[in-house]
Amino acid sequence: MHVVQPVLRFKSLLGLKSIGIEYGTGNTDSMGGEADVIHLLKSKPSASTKFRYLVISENYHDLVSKDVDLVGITAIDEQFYEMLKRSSSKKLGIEIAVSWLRKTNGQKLAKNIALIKSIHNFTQKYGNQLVLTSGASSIFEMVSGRCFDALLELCDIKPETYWNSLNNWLEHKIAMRCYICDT
Amino acid sequence: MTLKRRHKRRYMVVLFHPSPEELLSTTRDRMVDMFGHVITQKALLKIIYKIGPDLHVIRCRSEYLGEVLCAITLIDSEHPAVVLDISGTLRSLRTRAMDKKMSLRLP
Repeated sequence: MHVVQPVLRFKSLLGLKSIGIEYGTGNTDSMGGEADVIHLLKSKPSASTKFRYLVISENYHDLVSKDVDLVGITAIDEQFYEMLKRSSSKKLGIEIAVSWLRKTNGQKLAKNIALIKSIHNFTQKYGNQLVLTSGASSIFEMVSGRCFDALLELCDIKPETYWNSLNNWLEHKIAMRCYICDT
Repeated sequence: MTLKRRHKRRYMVVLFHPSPEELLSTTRDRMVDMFGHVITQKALLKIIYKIGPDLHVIRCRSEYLGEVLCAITLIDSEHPAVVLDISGTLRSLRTRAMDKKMSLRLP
């Protein structure tokens, strides 16, 4: 828990309402149920949990898996759009990390920006959701809300529309899970 | 008589580990890479002062704030930069920056 505290403190400095923190496949019993944290797990827990979570995958071939909520994208081929079309009923999240964009040079970055725009249009059409994340491994790699807005505008996406649809998508995904409530 | 107005400016508090000069040069390099020399020159990037060991205040023209924020966010360096606050005046930024400096004292 002490590892999460600096991140939570930094989160409010950056003007972010809630954040996703990635966990491996370890024991989930010790995790708390903080209201502003969404746990990102590699596999679905076997029992109900106290905390809110999403199941993530870094392989987009997992789009067809029914447990996965969020799929990280680093490379795309024609097959991706076909798979996205087929999985439209599941309201999947397509994650693009800023840390991945940082590693690209100007020419590749321009291509990736066009790609984000195309994924956004595609996800809107087929009921999925684009999720732009920092992909941070430390607090110094986190991205503030205002910078996310600037990146969205660079990709010709209206920040208000994006945040509203992301909020609705998150509420929908989290409401579908079973949680243990403290009484 | 023509009224000559100064460009509107925006001030940013940026968390960046190496020196402020390196922050400015890496931001400029990324901006040139992304938007070209003309936009980078027009943005009038400047280091104003240093608040703490890793906190720097930089200034740019308000018309190019979006471009500057994108460039800072996408700095391709082993030390990424984090924009903590933005303001139109140095006075209000200074007050808020002090609070942020206190909050940043990590264990």
